[in-house]
Amino acid sequence: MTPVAASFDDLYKTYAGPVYRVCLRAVSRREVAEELTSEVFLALHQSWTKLSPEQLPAWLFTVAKRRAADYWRHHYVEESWVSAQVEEINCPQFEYPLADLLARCTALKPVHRVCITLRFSQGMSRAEIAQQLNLSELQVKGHLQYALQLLRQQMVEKVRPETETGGDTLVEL
Amino acid sequence: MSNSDFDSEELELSALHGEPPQACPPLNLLLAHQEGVLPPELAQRIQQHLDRCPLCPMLLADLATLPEAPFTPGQEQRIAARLPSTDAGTPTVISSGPVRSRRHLAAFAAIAAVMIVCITVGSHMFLHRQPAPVANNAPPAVPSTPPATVAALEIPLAPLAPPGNDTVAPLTRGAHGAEPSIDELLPAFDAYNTADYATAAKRFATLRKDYPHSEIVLLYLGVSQLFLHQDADAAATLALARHAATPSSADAAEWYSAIAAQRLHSPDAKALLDSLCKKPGSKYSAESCRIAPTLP
Repeated sequence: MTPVAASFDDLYKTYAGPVYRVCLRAVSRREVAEELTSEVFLALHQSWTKLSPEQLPAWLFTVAKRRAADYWRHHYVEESWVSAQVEEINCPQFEYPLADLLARCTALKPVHRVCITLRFSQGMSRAEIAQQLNLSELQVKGHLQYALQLLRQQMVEKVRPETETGGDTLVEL
Repeated sequence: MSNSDFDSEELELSALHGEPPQACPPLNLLLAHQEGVLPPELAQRIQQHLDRCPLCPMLLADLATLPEAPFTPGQEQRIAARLPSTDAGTPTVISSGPVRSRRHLAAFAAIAAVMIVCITVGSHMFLHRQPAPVANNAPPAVPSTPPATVAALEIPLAPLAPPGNDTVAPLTRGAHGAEPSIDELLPAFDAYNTADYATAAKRFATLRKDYPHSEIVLLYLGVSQLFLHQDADAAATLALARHAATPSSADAAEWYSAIAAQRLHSPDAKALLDSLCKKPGSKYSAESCRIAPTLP
């Protein structure tokens, strides 16, 4: 009995990519996402006769999420951020918060904000950002330079009136 | 990341951003939380942070607007290679799959037949007069024009199974002999077996200091580096692994060296696969013979 009308091949070709992307978003590591995706389709193969057509493709994504959850359960204790944040979760208050600066600079596009945030808040290198966003390092460098230029303009415009009244010294930036 | 990693313009914002670094969760945790796959306690902590931090929700919202990474044929091939197959490395062939095996094999046979016709005849007109037979429901595999060359196949990267306990003579193990003891290897293989290749690579690299000529350490360090896409390091490590290898692990060392070489666009990839192809007893032989002719 083959309760699923489509062939396994068709399902693999149609959904391998979407399942992989779900896995990649869930675990952020390409090699692990590939492994989880293969586990999902292995599970599909093993459950082939028990599934009905209406269960697909949702079943695939459910299994993908479960496998990703297993991955995180396994790695939970190894995450340094978790142990570092056990006692206190806070979002430090800066005199001039990056989030506020990014939000006020309307000329920035999402890719600029993402590059800036990954660079300065997440502490990623250009190479790591490039890999995360599927860009070249040169593109990332360009986005960062352009964003910094806009942010500098934004800061100067914001600070100039204050300095004229003897306020902040950020005009040096 | 130290300040030396920033160029002069970036230092401006780095200084503004201030110290200590903002205690936001790493991006992988934020994304995992968004997908709802974190353990409850951790998810709760992330949510508490998101409720208070203006930056992280902005980051997640912005990321959602960016195009996702493409799903490449190489990735599809690597995933398929992990599925049970009748032909190692051939995508999506599962030996006992209902309906699928016959159709899949027929489709691949059709594709192979068409490719052969295209290459040997090389005539568009001929293809139109005598199209190659294509199985029912097979994907449209006939190219409209004959390809000038066969596209190089990617050598699939699959995890190398951990060695058995009898791989190396016990007398050579431990206490800085030729090979580490089982106990010394276990932490590295614990990470390796869970696909935590970053940790595995660190632990194998540590072992390498005490066992610089260990075939096991060099081989699995090289494989871990391949999974981490540290291709140049992997090529160097695996070259040493080939020299240190015993006959039982030599084929694996050559195979994974070929993967590193291909990623580095080195002609060594073809030479290594040709060598493996000529070893009929090797488990990599058939796959090497299939891929080697496609490499430059």
